[in-house]
Amino acid sequence: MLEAPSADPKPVELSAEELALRCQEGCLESFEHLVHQFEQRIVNFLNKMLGCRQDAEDLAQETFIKAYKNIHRFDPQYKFTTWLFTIAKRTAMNHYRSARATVELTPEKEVDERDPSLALEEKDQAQSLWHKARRLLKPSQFEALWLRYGEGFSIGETAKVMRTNELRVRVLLHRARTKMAKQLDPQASRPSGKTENPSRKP
Amino acid sequence: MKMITCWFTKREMARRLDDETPLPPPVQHHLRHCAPCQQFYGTQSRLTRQLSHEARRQATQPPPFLGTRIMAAVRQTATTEPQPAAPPRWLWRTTLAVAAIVAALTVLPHLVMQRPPPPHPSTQWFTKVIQLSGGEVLEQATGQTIEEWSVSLDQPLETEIAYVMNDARSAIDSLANRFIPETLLTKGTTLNH
Repeated sequence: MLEAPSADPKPVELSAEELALRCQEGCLESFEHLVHQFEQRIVNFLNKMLGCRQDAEDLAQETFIKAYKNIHRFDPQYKFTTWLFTIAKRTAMNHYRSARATVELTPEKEVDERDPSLALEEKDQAQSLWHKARRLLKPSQFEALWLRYGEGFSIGETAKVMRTNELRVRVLLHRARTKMAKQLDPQASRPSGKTENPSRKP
Repeated sequence: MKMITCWFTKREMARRLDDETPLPPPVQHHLRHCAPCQQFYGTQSRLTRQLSHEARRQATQPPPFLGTRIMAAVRQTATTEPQPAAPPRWLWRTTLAVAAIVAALTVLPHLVMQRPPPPHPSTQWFTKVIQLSGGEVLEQATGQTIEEWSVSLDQPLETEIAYVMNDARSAIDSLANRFIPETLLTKGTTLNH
């Protein structure tokens, strides 16, 4: 049941949807290709959502197991990427809900106990635009921004992963960009054409 | 006026930034003459470029054994919990088609066999006469007989009007008794007839 069918083409040459289709027929090798194709993107996505690299790796494993268990539900008419990211997002949300109940460690203590290269990487990321975005934006705005510009999803795909409509994604993106621009370049985001009324000045 | 143009231009620019498509000529024309909009577009497009660039730069490789670890867990799942077989693709469509046919076969006979409503009481008399005469009445109809029929037909209508009038009276009385103060009613302004 688990052996790969001998029919050509080789799994490497197939699209993600075709690989998923073969996996539905019981080809575990195809699923392995899917794992190698998407593990980096899923880990990065979960890392951005949770802000913890180790949790992201654990949840990536959980995501792929869930995907494998439910591969028979995947409809190849739709994109495999959006389906997988939807599972990853739900896994992250479940983790977040359960983690809220546990006692959190202080960040300083956590960094000290970890690999120095990881700490350096996090220090670099702390100064980055995405780090600022996470601090500034609401979770939904940040998620929309990451899926659109971090993962390169289209508006429609972002809406599918977020389980919302395209209009809401556009609104979230617009608000996120405006808020970010205001922080990065306060002068640029000043409303145009508005003149201050001198009589209202104290 | 310019503020309205700027508002529309910014909306269009936001749309184009979302879709990563070039600006249309009217917006480009507006940008050439409007410094604030030019600055807005510059900041926003620079920001989106930076976000994409930094996302690529920060994309770190997962640890080398993560894929192996995931596949080991998947293999374990595959042996302990066998993957359920994928339902045939045609199953849903066939089920829906069969359900639609069954529904149509159930509803259609009722629609076709539905009888016309019974004739109104006021026309029952006329219908009975036509039935008894075997249709000859209509052939022998003259001006006088038609007038007689019309008088007979009007009779039940007058009775119905009388019923309606009685209903209206009783309704007005009931309303009057409920809402008009008793003092007014005792002064002889009662609507009872």
